[in-house]
Amino acid sequence: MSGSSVSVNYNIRPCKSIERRMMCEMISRLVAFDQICNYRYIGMGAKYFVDFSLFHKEFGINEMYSMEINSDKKNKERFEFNKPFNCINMMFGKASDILNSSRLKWNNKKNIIWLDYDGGITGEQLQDVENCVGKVDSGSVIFISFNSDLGNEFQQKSPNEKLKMYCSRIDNEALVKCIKPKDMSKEKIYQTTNKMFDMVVRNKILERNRTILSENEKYQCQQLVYFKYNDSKAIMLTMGWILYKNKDAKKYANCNFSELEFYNDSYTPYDITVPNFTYKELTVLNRNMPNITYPIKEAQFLLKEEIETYQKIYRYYPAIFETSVVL
Amino acid sequence: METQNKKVDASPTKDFFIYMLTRDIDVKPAIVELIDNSIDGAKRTRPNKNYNDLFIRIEMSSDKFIIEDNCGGIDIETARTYAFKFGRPSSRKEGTAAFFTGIFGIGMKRTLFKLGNKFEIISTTNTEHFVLKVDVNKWLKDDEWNFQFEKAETGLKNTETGTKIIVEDLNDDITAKFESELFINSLIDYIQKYRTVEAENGLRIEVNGITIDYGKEKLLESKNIQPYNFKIKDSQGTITIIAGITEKGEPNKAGWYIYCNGRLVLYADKTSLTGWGNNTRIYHNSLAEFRGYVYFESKDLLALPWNTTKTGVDTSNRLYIIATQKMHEAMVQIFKLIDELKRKYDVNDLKDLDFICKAKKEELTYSRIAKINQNVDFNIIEPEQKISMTKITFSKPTVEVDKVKDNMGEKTNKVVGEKLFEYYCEMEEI
Repeated sequence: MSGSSVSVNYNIRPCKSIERRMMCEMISRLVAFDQICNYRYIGMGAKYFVDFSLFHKEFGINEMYSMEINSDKKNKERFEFNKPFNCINMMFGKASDILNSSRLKWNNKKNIIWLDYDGGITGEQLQDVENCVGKVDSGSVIFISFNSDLGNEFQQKSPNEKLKMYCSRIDNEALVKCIKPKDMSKEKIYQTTNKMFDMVVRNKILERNRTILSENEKYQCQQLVYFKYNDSKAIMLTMGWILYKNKDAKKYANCNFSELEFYNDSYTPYDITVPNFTYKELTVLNRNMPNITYPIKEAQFLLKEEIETYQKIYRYYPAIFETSVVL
Repeated sequence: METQNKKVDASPTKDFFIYMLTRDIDVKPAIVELIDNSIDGAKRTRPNKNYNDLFIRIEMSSDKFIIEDNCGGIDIETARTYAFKFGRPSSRKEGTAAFFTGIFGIGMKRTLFKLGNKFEIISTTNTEHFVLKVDVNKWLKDDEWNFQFEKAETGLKNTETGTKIIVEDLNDDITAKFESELFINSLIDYIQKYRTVEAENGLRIEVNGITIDYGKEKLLESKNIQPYNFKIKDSQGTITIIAGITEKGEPNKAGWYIYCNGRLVLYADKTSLTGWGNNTRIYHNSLAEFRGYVYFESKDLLALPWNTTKTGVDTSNRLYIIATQKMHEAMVQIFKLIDELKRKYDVNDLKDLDFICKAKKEELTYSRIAKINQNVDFNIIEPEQKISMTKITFSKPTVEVDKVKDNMGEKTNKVVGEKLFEYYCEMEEI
């Protein structure tokens, strides 16, 4: 969306790239519900459309919508120009307005939604997730990414003032009712933020279920991921959930999400960290994966913990850094 | 031929109480009704109004609702003849002279029916103890209207007193609500808003282990700012009105707050119920600084203007009509001064004015309200006059403005405009 188009080319952010590949692996398991190519992808492609290219090429998804806030004439032309495939439909406007309108039809559609925001947490993001949870069909996944930093101004404030600032961003009295200044501390705030989304999602599911008469048709929701990574100075957070009907519980079980290394249904984020290795070192390391025996003969100077960090992500580690040329 | 039997059946049905009346009240105010009952217990046992060691605890989960207090308990005679009777008999008079909130004889039963199908009430007073269990579905089939004590003992010497109500087999919609943490939070928020003045005297209310704290309402009061005060002592009761402004305009908090015997029945009302739009302006965010509080007190509970769910006012109530005349007066005075100040200083928020921003905020505690005994008009005395200001607005292409901003190192249009003006004055040596 606006800022990122100007400042950041997501392609060259390794953690983001790893995150995308992890999500790909997760999405591939949705096949227990339906062929992935039958899913619809709704994202925020900016002008690089990296996720769109990936999901189109990887899974053959060809109903895609990119929500884009920059809607003046020049920008519209530019986004249309940069679209890598003609199956991507540009939807100009604020994501919350689009999700809250009839511009997207929701009937019986399985969706992969990725709301990828630039800024820090806001009440609007919570509402967008809530909106999706209220609309998507069984087997759909919803991801949201945003910046965890609330700026220098936030960092410099006292715990009490931080709390005030945080609450005014969330702008929902009931949601923030029980948070205390100590929940604003450096690490605790990640839990607090997850809790905000968790409450909204759970509440929406209960509300949605109240409108459904048959027990089989009622929904369950499960958090699948909670990533945190540090890229180009900003700490980014990504959360994701799957929704499925009671009658599809078996399909959900068949996805076996919990056996994925990065599956995370907790309040504490899973850190994606990329150790610094040279290409030469990477070649050696890869040859020794997945069943490592220590020490690695050709590279005894490498620390065990570094290697372990790499072992967790090596399958998702970009072999080459993609460029922004998407063909 | 005229029929001999002239009787028409107008007797109530149990279904009416279980399925109909429960529709008139939402879950949150229904739960507050139970809190009201406990508070009435506190008032009964502690006429000195010191509630420091008293508590009301609510525990709720998807399968159970429990409210427990140590506020004196219900005696067997009251339970037998009054507490569980549907509707309050007009002959019933409270024994002590306190400002109670239990009046209609429907609150507790309606709440219990609203919540679930099985309830149990265990109550202990200094000398008595009873247990009463009701299975609503069984009771519904029974022709009798009576409930049965499971246990009822007298002549005891109990050291700990209080009432515990357990509701089980919760209704489906209730289960869904109690499962949601967001609902629990919003209940806490609701109880906080509809708090009673008793909390000031030490009464502790907990919901799922979280003690409810009470942010008190505040009004600006300083040598420059005088809130509107009015007290009416009527044979039916006392009305105290205090109204004024806060420094920050919060639209969701603006409006009138109406209390009956310490119980809030209307929160931040901005509708015609409290006189908005009746010969005054209708609410607009430019009046977001307005706050008004009306306290009705009476030992004659029927004289107070509450409705049966205590979530609104009966506008045809005599005391309320008396109050509305003064509320109108207060609104007109306050709106006029808010408008004048904003226009004169060309600000959107009063907090942009230094003397408002720095003014002292007075907490509206019970003792503070009780002290009001003379009638004072709302007034703002402006501090020494500043230079009168004029606002200039103009538009220029964004690209050019951005260039100027960049060059100045400024971020806001307002500052850019001011600097441009200063620049002209300096260059032209004006």
